[in-house]
Amino acid sequence: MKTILIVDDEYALVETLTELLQHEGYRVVTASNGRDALNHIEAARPDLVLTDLMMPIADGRELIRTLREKPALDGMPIVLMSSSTKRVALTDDDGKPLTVAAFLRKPFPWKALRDVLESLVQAEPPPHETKK
Amino acid sequence: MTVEIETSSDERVPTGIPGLDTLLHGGLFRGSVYLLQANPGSGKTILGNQVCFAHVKSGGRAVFVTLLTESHSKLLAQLASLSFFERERIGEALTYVTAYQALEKDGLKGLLILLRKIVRDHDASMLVIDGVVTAGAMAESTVEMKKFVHELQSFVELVGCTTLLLTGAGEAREQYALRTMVDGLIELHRDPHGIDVMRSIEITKFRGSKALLGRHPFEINDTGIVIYPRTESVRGRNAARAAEGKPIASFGIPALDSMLGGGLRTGSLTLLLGTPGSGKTLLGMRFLEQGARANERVLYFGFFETPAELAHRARRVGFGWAEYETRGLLRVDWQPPLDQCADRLVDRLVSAVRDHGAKRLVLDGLLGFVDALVHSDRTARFIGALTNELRSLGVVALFTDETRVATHLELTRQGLTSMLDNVVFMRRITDGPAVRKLLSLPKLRDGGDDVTTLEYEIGPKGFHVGPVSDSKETSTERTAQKKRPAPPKKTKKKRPRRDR
Repeated sequence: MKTILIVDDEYALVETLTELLQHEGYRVVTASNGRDALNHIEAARPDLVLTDLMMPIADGRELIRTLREKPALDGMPIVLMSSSTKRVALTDDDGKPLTVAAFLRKPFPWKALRDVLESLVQAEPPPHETKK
Repeated sequence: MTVEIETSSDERVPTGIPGLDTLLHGGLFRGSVYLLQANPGSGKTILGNQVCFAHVKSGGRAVFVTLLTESHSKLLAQLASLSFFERERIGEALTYVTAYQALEKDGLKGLLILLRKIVRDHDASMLVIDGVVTAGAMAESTVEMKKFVHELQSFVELVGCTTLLLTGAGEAREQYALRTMVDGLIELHRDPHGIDVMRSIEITKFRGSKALLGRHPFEINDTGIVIYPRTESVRGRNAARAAEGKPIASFGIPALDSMLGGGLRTGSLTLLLGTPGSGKTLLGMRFLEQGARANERVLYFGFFETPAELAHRARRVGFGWAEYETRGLLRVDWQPPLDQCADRLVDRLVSAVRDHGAKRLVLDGLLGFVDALVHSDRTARFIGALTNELRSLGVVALFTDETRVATHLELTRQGLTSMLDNVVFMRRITDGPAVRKLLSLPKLRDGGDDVTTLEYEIGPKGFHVGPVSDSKETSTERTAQKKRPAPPKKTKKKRPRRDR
C-alpha cells in the first residue's frame, strides 16, 4: 500500500483528502505545517508528499527545500497545491526555482489530483527502494 | 517537468428552473454550497427536486437526501403531477436517500461521513439536502454547525458536487450560522396581497458573481416553479429608438393617417387614450385589420373583451377580423384580468410577439398591466422597460388606456407620455342631447404640434372621420387651445367626411 503525506493547515481539506485517498487504497499520514511534516517524515516513510504552500511554522517552500536536501528522500515526488500561480509558488525565497513533480492550483477537482497521484506513485518506485 | 493542473473555478451549473438562471447570471457555481430558506408551503421541496430532475436531464447525476421530512413515497407521489417529474430517472441518475439515522446515531460528524459516501458512491454532481433544520437542531453549538458546513464545502468543492441545502426560515442561531457559511442564499417569500398570496424569490447572497437583486415573482404551475424576473431588471436594456425613415403603418383612415404623416413608424409606441365608450378598442382593431389586409402578421393582446366579444364587435362594424384570424395573420391573445403577475404578462406578450412574428401590436389595455403590478411604485420603471423591449422587437405598438377626464391637459397624470412617441386622444362627449366623438393628437413625435381635432362616428362600415362640426363644446375647446386655427366656416353644418 502506497503512503501519502498530506501537509496542509486547512483541516477540512486534509480530512476530505484523507477520506478520498483512503477510499482509493492509499495509506494517509497528515501534518498541519512544514515542521510537523518534517518531524513525521522518517516514521511515515511516504511514497509521495502532497503539500500546501502557505502554512504557519515552516511553509511549503521550506518543506520542499529541506526534503530536497535529504539524500534518503531523493526521487520522492512532491506535489504542491496552492491558490497562488505556478510561477510564484515555484520560486524560492532567494529567487531560485523549486522543483516539484506536479503543481495543482486550488481549487482543483478531485479527479485531477487522483490521476496525478496515480501516475506518480505507480510510475515511479518508492524512493527508499531506489536510493543510492 | 512539472505536471500542472489549473482548472476554472467559475464553472456554472444551470439550475434548470425557468428564470432562476437569469437571476443568477447563468447558474450556481460548480462545487459550491447554497442555502434555500423558506417557510413551510413556499415551494422549496419542489424547487430542490426540480433542480435535481433538470440536472439529470442535462446529463448530471444527483442525490436528494432527506432528514426527518416526509417519506420518499409521499414526496414522489406529490411530485408526480408536475411535468418535470420523470419516474424512470429515479434509481438511475437520481437517487433518494434518507440520512436521519446517521444524524441521530453519530451527530453531524456521522451525517458528513454518510454524505461523503453517498456522493462518492453515486458519483453525484448535484446534492440536495432537505430538512437541514433538523441537523441544526442536533448541533450542540453554532460552532459545530459551522464546522459541518465548512467540511461539507471542502468536500463538495473538491469533488465538484454543487449542493443545495433546504431549510425553514427563521432567526435561530443555527440558521444564522448556516447563512454566514454558505456560498449563496436564496429565499422564497409568501406575502399576503388582499385575500391573495404573492410568491417571490430573492437572491440575498451570491459569492463570486452579481445576481439580479430584489424580489422576483414566481408561480408553481403544472410544470413546477417558474420565475419571472422583474421586467425592469431584465427587459429593454438596449436603448432602442423608433426607426428613422418613412412611416409605414397606416390606419387606413385618411384623415387620421394624414395627421400622422402617413402612419406610424416601426418600433414606435402610440397611446390610444380615451374616455369610456370612445372606441379605443375598435380603433386598435382597425389598425390591426389594416396591417392584416397588407398580409402583415398582427397581434391583439387584451384583458377585458373575450375573443368572441371582439369577433362580434368586428362583425358589427364590418371588419374582416375572423377571416384574418383564420388565415393566421391575426392572433388574438386574451388574458383574463385575474392574473396578478405583471412580469408573467410581459413574458407572454414578448413571446407572443416573437412567436407570431407580429409587425403590429395592440395592447388593450395598459390598465391590465398596471393593475397586475401590485407595487405601484414600479409603474414608471416597468412601463419604461416594457416600451423599450417592444421597440427593440421592431413592432408598431398601440396601447389603449382609459381616462375619465375629457381634456388632454390631464394626460400627464399617466406619467407615461415621455416614453411614448404619439398620443391619440379620443373623447366621447355630450353636446346637448347629442353624443359626439372627437379625436386629437396631443403628442406627435414626428409631426410637431398638430392641434387639429377630428370628429368621428363608428357605424356598420367602420370609422367615419372628418373635420369637427361647430358646437358649444368645441368652442370651449378652442378657447383652451389657443393655437388651434378656427375651422373653416363651410364645415359648420357638414356631416363628417366618410373615410373607410
